[in-house]
Amino acid sequence: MMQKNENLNIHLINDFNLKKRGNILITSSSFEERCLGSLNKIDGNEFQKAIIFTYEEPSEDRDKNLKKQKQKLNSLTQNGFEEIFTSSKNPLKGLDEFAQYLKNYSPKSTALTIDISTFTKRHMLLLVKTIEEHGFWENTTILYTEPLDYITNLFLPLSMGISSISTIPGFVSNTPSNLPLFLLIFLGYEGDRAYSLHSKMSPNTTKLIIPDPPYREEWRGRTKKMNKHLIKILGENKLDTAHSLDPYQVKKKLYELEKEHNFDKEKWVLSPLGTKPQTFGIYLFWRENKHSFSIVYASPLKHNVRFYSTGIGNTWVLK
Amino acid sequence: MPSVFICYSHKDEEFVDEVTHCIEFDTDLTINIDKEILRPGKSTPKEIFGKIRESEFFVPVLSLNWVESNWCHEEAESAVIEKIEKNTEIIPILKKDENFEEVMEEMEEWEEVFFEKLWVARFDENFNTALNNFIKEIGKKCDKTPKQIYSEMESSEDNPFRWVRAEQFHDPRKFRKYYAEPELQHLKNSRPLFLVGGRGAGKTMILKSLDPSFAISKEHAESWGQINLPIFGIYFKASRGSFSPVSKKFLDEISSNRQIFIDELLLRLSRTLLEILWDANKKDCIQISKSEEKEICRIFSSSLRLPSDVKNIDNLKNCISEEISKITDYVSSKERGENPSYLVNSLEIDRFKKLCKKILDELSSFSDKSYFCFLIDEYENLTEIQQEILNTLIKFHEGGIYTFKVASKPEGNETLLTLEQEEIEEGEDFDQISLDFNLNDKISRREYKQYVFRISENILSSENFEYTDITEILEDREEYREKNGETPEGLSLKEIDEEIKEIYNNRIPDKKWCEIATEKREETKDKMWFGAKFRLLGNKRCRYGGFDDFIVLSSGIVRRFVELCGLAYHFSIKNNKNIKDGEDDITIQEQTEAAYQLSKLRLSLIKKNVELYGPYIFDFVNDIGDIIHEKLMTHRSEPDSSRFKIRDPNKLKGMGIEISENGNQKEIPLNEIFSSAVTHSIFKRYGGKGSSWNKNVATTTQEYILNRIYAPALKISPWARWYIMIEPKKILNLLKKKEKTKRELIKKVRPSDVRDEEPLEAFTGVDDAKE
Repeated sequence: MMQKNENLNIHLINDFNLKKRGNILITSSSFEERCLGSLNKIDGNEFQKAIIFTYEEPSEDRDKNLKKQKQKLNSLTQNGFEEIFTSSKNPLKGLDEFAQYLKNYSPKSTALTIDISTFTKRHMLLLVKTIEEHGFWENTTILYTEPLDYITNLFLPLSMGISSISTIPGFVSNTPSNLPLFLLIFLGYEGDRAYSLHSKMSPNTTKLIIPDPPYREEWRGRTKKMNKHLIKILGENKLDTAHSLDPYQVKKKLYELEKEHNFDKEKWVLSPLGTKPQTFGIYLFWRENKHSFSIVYASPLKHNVRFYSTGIGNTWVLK
Repeated sequence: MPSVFICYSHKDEEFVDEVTHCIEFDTDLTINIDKEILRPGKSTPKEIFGKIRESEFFVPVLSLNWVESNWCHEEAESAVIEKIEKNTEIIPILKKDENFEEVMEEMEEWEEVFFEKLWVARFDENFNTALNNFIKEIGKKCDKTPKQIYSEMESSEDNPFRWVRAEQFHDPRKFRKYYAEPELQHLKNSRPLFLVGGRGAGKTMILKSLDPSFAISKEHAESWGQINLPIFGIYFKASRGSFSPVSKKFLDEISSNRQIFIDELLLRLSRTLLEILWDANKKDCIQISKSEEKEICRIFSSSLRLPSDVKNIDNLKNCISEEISKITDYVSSKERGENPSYLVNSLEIDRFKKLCKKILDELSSFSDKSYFCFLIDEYENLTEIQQEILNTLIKFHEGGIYTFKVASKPEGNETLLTLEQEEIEEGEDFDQISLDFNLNDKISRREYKQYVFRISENILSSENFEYTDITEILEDREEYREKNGETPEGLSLKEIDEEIKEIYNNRIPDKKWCEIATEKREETKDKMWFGAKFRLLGNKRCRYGGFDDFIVLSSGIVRRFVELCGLAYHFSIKNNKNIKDGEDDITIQEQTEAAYQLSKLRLSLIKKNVELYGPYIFDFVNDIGDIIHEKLMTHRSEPDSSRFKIRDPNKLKGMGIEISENGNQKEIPLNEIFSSAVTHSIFKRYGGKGSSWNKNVATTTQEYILNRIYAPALKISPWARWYIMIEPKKILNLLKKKEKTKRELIKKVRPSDVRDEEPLEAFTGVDDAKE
């Protein structure tokens, strides 16, 4: 696992005092154990209230974790928690309810702490966008817990098939529609999804971003292997890397790419199939270049739940 | 794709389902598994042992239940024979929750048979490790997958046919060299045109050919003024990611929100128009003076009701972009359930028309005859309301100001209505051309052949090949036959004649072959030739070779043809041939390998690339393939089918199957699944009554033709002469994986159950195989 003394713009939670940072704690339920990661590490801090997003899709493991989360949230908060039901298929669901809650608080005097570990990437983007649009950006802390490991192998993916490809609401470019399409895919362990996306979008140019360094050294090479067909078609020269954990380095990388693939000359479409911190890095880039590119999301037909993450790794403060 | 036969006790079905599900979705393996077989009273030994013989791998799922099953032992015995004779690989799986020692103790003689690979897939230990090992083991014995081979072909710098997509051509000069213009009547006139075709039909290439830079490059001119083309193309790609996504809930509130979509689309069209004009100015294709620039800013600002005074083009661009951003932000806030405010621009079609007219009048680079031609690509990605807006623009187009050339996949239209709910009509408001050439129509087939010939000629000459005539480079199957007196598969012409005679005599027992007139005999031979050949070949590969064969297999889709050539060339290079300098040609064997690899790849991509319905369509295609294969092998008078006809297709709307999407179940009507298959060129609507790209037209029967590229993988004939009839209810059952229905349909095509209503002379297909 990456250590704090690397040249990172983020910090391990151990080094960070959240005492003054949290009025509202926001988290999500999940079948992944790490949904409990941040909660277990912020003992000693007290929040006014918590909001937990519960995905509707049925899952026994999720229900077990949810029970533990609720107990924890009760102990961490003065006024308990609110549960908002949402859907991984339709992450907009529940966001209006969330926006209503925010209206009860003043952005200047309220601090939000969000654990993004187990939100879907799409949902996470919509959530932070909502938070920023309501004026809470400056006083928001973003936490992220790494998994200890992925129960996966180099042959089987985290998901199967493609259900749909669509733009994430609000993340649409306003650039002209005659420009050649530049597709930028942050690769993950879902080779089929990336391959299908590339096939469907028919871009003029493509860049594939591999997370580097991997969370664990023994994971090095996994992403490349799971995307070998797409890499083979496009060529190794289309590969680049972006930090797997530090969203500020991801933002920097995107600026570098923009010098080569100017917004005025190419129509950017980005697809976040990589890590969640990378996706947050994409958001950091977005907020400084609003509507200069689109973010598309390829929904899988089926998640291979068995092969998801296991354990609770380090917790980082991304913002 | 390598195929695997799973041998298991039905008591272990749950575990087997879990494992095969994991394997099926990701790998290219074909899983042979027949649950019906193992239930008492429903065994069909012939089918089972046939499948064991066909499979490269035999996988017994070992457990105490397996040990107790006599039937499993019989299957295993058959597999052992195959191992000896054909080198079938046996890889046992130990079921999870079983006690390894206990099972081994009960295995007796089988332990010795399976001993070699017993350690490979121990699901009793760790599921994931076992699965991983199992797939690795299979992988060791497999040749490269079709995907790997295709990837190699596409990434090879030396392969002239690797340029399969319009997007690969960054340089207009290169594009000009490769591009061959199809003979399309309405392409360059001022009438709106819909170009309909599947992926790879060449729609984008054709639209791009109307781009000003292409036209200038083609004429070797320096500016727009020097060429005599009135059309100034404005390319607009409605790709995914271009527009704000909208939910059904939002659309249901359409009456108050409709203006938002009109504003967005007109702003985006205007933004693109501006971009192209300014870009053309920068490249000196047109000249925009300072005063003209100022006037353009004024025209755009006033037409689009932009809020601020715009000083220059860059300012104008930002202004329009800003208006578009306001709309997307408004839509996304609204979707979140909030109540954002937005002052609509209230743009109208008329204002847009006036904008175009004023620009044309203002710019001296345009003559009186010039007009804008909006080249809309990927129309199928537009929502219904966006299509209504575009349809309105089409209906009220004015030839001297603007027109539209719109590229769409088949059944890509959600609506043909305008904003005023009037329908736009083909012939009246627009013309339509199908780029999916109909190979069953002589004229269309000839046009396709000429088109593809010119494309390959351009490719080969651009890459400096010695011979640019593709027919010279591809060894021809027919020529081989004429020269050697036998087919490339080694069948003599006499053998085939005898088989035809046999088929005929069985078909009409009271009229012998020798009694019929010579002319009729020749006609029959022509019709039955391929069918007879397939029957003689049995499970052996049919060989494909030559321009005509690739034409048929490509199914009228240009890209498929180029891919076939690309793969065939790839294999020839692997065999150290020198095609480029004309020393060698691409052999029938290499072309056959290309056909099979592309066939398997395209088939496997159905389940991965077709959104939502992919796995269902994939299963359906395989089932139809099995039925058609049976017909090919046994039907007395109509062997070559790859068409199927649905009676009362409107019933498909009322029937649905439940599909699982991320844990949620939802019912999907069959007509949507079929529509998706047509859009993805898996089937093509063929001839018949009411055939139209408008999927909403009602018909009494509807015929579909399976994309012929699947024929090699499905072991059917690509020469689609006859059809099979299927009822909607049977289709529903096939999609629900009801084996009984499939068996019934297979049985129906066999001789004993055929009613033989149509005599040989009265077959309905156009002569497909001949020139």
